[in-house]
Amino acid sequence: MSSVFKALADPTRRKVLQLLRRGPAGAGELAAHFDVSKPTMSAHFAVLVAADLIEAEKQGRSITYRLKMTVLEEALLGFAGTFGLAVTRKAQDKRAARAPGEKP
Amino acid sequence: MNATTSRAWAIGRSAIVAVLLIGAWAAMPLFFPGHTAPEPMLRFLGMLTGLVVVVQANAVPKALGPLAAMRCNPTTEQALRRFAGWALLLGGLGYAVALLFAPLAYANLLSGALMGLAVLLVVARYGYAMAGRARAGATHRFAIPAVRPGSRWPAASATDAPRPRPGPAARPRRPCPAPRTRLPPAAAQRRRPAWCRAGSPRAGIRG
Repeated sequence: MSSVFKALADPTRRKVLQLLRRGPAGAGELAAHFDVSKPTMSAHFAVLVAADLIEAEKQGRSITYRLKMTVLEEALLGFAGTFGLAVTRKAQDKRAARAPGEKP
Repeated sequence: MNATTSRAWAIGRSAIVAVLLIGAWAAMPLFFPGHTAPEPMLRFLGMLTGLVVVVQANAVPKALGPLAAMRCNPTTEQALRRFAGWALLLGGLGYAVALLFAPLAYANLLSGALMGLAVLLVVARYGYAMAGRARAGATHRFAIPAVRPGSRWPAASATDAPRPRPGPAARPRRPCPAPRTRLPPAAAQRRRPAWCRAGSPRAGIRG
């Protein structure tokens, strides 16, 4: 269960899961949505596969990922997205409220 | 444990749980002959039945077959599984809560209505997918929408469909290049090796 929480803690991985809700997708197609390097995306995919939230299936030279979440894990993803978003906004608001010369 | 064994184990486990639950309900008159079972017992068994449905429904979206062996559209299949999981889980939860807290006179009716609604929704969603298949005239079990550009799998909606690419017949043909003009005789003579130029003293002599 801790691996699931670890996987859901990262916003990039949560976005990957949200993209996979539409249907199975290739690794390249998923990576195109993010401004990170391909090795970093591979590491994110590995964490999600280890948590058994997605399934990778190799067909020829391409890898297809698809969602493999239970209903409760999906509900957890929704909660994590909501609260994660709230935390991010709070941090952004704090940063914006700080004076430019002020030390963090 | 391979996929076939795990599937067989899952089916066997579900069958055992179902037999135990039905057995518990059937054994109730044996334990309380002549009068109805006490209310806490009825509520507990009802709640247990609802929770079994919740546990089984929770795992519905996670039970996946290999993509290569899939005869239907994976996107539709995933959407159906997710919908069935959510509907049955909420139905089972409603069943358990209704049997636990509602007055016993209405609890059976209410719980049955909630569970029946969940099953009806799943059947309706499946029927909608089948109707889509019929509309599309597909040979698969489910309708296959248009392919999203850059994706190997069909898109969720037809609005993502790529524009049709012009085929070979519709593509405008390029004008044929002008035929290569032959070199004037003098230039052609110059380009020929000395041993084969006409009129040359070395004509026909190689080396």
